[in-house]
Amino acid sequence: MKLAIVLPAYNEEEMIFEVVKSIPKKLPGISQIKTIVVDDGSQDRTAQLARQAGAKVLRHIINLGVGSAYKTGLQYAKNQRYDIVATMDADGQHSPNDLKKIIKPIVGNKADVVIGTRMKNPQAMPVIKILGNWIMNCITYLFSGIWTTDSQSGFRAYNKKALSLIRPKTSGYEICTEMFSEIKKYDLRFSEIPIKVIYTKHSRSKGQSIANAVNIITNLLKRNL
Amino acid sequence: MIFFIQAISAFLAGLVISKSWNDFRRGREALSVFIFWVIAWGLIVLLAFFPILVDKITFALGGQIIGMGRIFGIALVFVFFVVYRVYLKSDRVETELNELVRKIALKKISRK
Repeated sequence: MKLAIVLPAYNEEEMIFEVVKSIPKKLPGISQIKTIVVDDGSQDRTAQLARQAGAKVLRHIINLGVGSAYKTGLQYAKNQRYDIVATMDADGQHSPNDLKKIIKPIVGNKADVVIGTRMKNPQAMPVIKILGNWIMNCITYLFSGIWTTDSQSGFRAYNKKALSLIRPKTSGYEICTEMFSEIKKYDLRFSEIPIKVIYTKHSRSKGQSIANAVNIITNLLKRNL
Repeated sequence: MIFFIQAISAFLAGLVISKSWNDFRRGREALSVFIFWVIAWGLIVLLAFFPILVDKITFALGGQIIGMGRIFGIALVFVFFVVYRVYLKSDRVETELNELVRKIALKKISRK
């Protein structure tokens, strides 16, 4: 089985080299692993450093948003006929050691989509992020009918079937919620796997704020109109 | 005596027309678009300074005085329609821009 690991990145020169280098070279049930960095119009050396670390780099000529970066990465993986695609954040908050756990239900054909949940082990997570995440989980439930403990997690895995069916329309953070609507729409099997979260000064400064919830709701309403 | 609405409409008209004139001079806007804005805002200022014209026009057209409230209501409907059209266009442009940037990124990588 071929695995593609998609990392959407925007101005991540501080962490990208380290993150790409830390991706395991071998995983059980996987014959080939490729790291794909989607540089979403960064103004720093993100693309250059990712290439140096050994990643394949797709570059957006302008900044479109994290959702668009995901879509580009998923499209590339689909074109290249990868069997599994895992997505991770480029800020270093996800542990590459969890990749094995994330892809396991897919390799064993027990799930089509796997979500890495930070909420089953949220010790390192700031309280404000836990609260924001819970609000977003409720919004996700309203829009998709699926209850999840971590709707905003960027650590996910998809099999070939999910890749061929899912067609997200949004371009920002709302893609995290939209994916659940797609899971429901195509009746895909999904499971949650607890993951470790590494909060550093850098990763705390990244990600989305609670204020972004208004934008997310507006864009989700637009998508559903 | 100049009322608030008259002052604000004259100020906004000056702002829009001068911006449109600048865009036209720099080749960013067609002459027809510039003329459209001059006429549109000229009319707005004219009606703000001489609101009696509205009643005269409607009386000449329909034979009755309909009042400023109804005129504002009609204007509001028109403005919402314009906003809706602008929203549709901007949404389409955004979608197309996203697709274009994605295609460029995928094309570049396939060449390597």
